[in-house]
Amino acid sequence: MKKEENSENEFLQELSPLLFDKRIAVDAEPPAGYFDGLTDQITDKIIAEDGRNSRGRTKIIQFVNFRNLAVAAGIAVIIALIPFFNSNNIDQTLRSELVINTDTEISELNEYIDESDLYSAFEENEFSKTAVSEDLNEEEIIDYLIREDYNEELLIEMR
Amino acid sequence: MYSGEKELIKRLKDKKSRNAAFDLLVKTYQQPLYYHIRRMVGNHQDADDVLQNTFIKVWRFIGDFKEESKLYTWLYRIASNEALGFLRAQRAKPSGNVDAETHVAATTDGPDGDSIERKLGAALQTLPDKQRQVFDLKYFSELKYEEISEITGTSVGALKASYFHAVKKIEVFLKTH
Repeated sequence: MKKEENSENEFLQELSPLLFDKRIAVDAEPPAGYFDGLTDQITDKIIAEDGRNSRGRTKIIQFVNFRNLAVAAGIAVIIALIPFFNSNNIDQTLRSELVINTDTEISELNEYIDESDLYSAFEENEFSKTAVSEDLNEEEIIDYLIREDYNEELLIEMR
Repeated sequence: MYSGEKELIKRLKDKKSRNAAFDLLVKTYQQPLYYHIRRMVGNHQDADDVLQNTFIKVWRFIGDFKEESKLYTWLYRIASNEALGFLRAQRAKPSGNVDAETHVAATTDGPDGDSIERKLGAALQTLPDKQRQVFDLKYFSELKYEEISEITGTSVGALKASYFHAVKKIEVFLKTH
């Protein structure tokens, strides 16, 4: 090892006598007192950086918390409102059906019910036999109305 | 790694003794690291910035130091990387100025010594950054190739070749200027 070092030094000596005849120092000196205050300068810098970093970290943590909270709250609200939306939809459907029923015009109904169906329904209930085909005279009608407790004044007028 | 160094590392990793240990670390290594950085970057202002950043990194990453290398080679590695990074950043700037004139100041007596030191300083500036780093660590810091290998992550063979090339270039510069 020593032999190797010596041969290397000899080689360098031959290669550059200017450099190796005498070691040249180029240690440029810093300003006076520089090394005395270096530790304090570095420590101050570390403290300042730590302060900046912790402020940054706090902001990130806050941001993350708010964001997480917002997302969680949003999901909770959506889950809570699912039944409401579902029931609301059913209700709206029913209401819309009702609206269609009340506002539907006769012409529109005709699209759904055939005229012959109406006649057959009429016949099935035997309205024609009881109400139309019964041949009643005036006396019988008045008797019926008296039985059914109709207005007497009206009955007098009829008489 | 000698026991004093181990003890220092242990104290640096311990939160209770960290501040005092760091103070001791800075006081022990500030001068050799400063001169190494200054020869790399060329002037005091930049050397000061790089040195402070070096120690700040030491403070931040001492917990990650695995103690597979010596503490001072680890410190040199951080300092060297910081200096090389600084030089790269300077070159990337449009008005990058590594002032060769402010690089060297005489430290030995006599006009001849002064002259050769200034010339050597100027010669260093002609070297590529990594070659200058190797020359500095070998010639000025007098580290062994194995230690420089730990610092630079380059093989000993490649370091020797790099160092001889640097010496040759400097010799030519000194003869011609």
